[in-house]
Amino acid sequence: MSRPLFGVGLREVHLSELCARPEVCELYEIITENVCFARGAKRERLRWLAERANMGLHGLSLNVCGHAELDEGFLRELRALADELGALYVSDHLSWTRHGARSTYDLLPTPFTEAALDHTAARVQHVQERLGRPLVLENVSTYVRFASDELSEAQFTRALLERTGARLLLDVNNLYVNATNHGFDAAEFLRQLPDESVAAVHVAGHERRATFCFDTHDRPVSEEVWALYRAAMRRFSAASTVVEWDSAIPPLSTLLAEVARARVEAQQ
Amino acid sequence: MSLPEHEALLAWILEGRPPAEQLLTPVDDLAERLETYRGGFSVRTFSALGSVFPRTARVLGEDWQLLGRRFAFSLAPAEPNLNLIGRALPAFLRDQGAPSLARALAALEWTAFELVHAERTSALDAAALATLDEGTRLALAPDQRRVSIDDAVLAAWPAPPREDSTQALLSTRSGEATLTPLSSVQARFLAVLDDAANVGGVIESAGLDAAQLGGVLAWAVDAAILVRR
Repeated sequence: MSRPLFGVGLREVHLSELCARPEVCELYEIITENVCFARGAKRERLRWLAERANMGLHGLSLNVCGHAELDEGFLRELRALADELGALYVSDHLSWTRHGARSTYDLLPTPFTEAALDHTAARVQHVQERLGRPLVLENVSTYVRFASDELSEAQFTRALLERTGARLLLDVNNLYVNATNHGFDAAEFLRQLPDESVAAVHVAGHERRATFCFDTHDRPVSEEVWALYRAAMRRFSAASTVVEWDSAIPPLSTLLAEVARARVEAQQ
Repeated sequence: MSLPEHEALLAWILEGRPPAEQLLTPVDDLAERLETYRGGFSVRTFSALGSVFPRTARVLGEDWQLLGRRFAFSLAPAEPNLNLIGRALPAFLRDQGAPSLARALAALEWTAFELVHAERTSALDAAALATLDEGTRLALAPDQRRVSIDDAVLAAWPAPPREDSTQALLSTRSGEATLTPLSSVQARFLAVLDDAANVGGVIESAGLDAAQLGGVLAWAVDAAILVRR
């Protein structure tokens, strides 16, 4: 990952169009769960695409901060998929997604405590052993924090990366949302990250509500987030960039326009 | 408070229990912030169902909002993968007395979803077929499924009109879920594939004459749907 690559979060609705002209992006980030157990035509198309562009794997259900037992079968499939596609990175979220036997289908906040740090670090190391590569973890948007937090998000993230050798998928939109929602300095967060710890950067849109920001990933990147992106790329110039829309997904041309802008902003 | 207790606290709150203000921050607009999490579960599950069952949703119209959301809320989702939550939807629609067309489409759409995840195995070509002995076991390729259809299903899918049988071949090989109506000869041939122990058994059980057998084998080879079991 020495040269920054620019691409999009690959969504089903764009797959055929992208297979017709895969050269429009250097990097496609696929949702792990959408393909991990796929064996047929879908997987073949992704393999075909992987021969023509770089692929990142981006999961939602690893539950790396949670307490439910890690799914060893899923980790085996994930490693096989990463090897098969020659994935540039394997990522998931710094969150928990399961309580007991019940999945939340949401990326929920972990307490920023020393105990949570120990717990998460042990799980990240276990995952990395199973995957045979560093895990890349994304900072998630949050709307509440635990009163028992002992560390800031930056301190927790930095300590986790240093302790495990994992890398960060820095979602600058999520960082902006959290800085707004919890009243911290996003620039200071960037300064506290270890050198060369960012593997990739996400840019996305959010909705500004009366008293907080709601992470929607369903609209263009705001000017405030582009400003934070420029700051992030000055610090982590080798990081790749992914434009990510999760709902109200627009035509591919809209995403490619944001990719083009990211290329320009990354040089500022 | 231990880590599992933190987890339990937030999970309970998201299930509708009153927020514990002394444990979560900020407190001024806590209820509104928690609502974003509560709303998210519903939006995500309903959206995931809609992507797997688009035809069912279209046929149900406004009732999809009701039935789909009721199903989403009825889940105690053990499945970590959100894509897989629709497995029980066809049975749920049956239990809810949904129209038969919607139930049939839901069953087919879930089967199509399973086919996307099925192994792709090399199909037998004409040369390979010619060298088979009678003891060889044949099967329909794992990414294909013989299914029952009627005119309403074919119209709603949409698919070409029915032939002289109520069977069709469901496939996702092209990247889209397609239904191809089968002739009665094709349907009979594929039906015996499921049961017959070997090639000899297929020929015997299908009850086809030489011309019919030659024709159906040529079709199956051309469609690349026959594999060794």
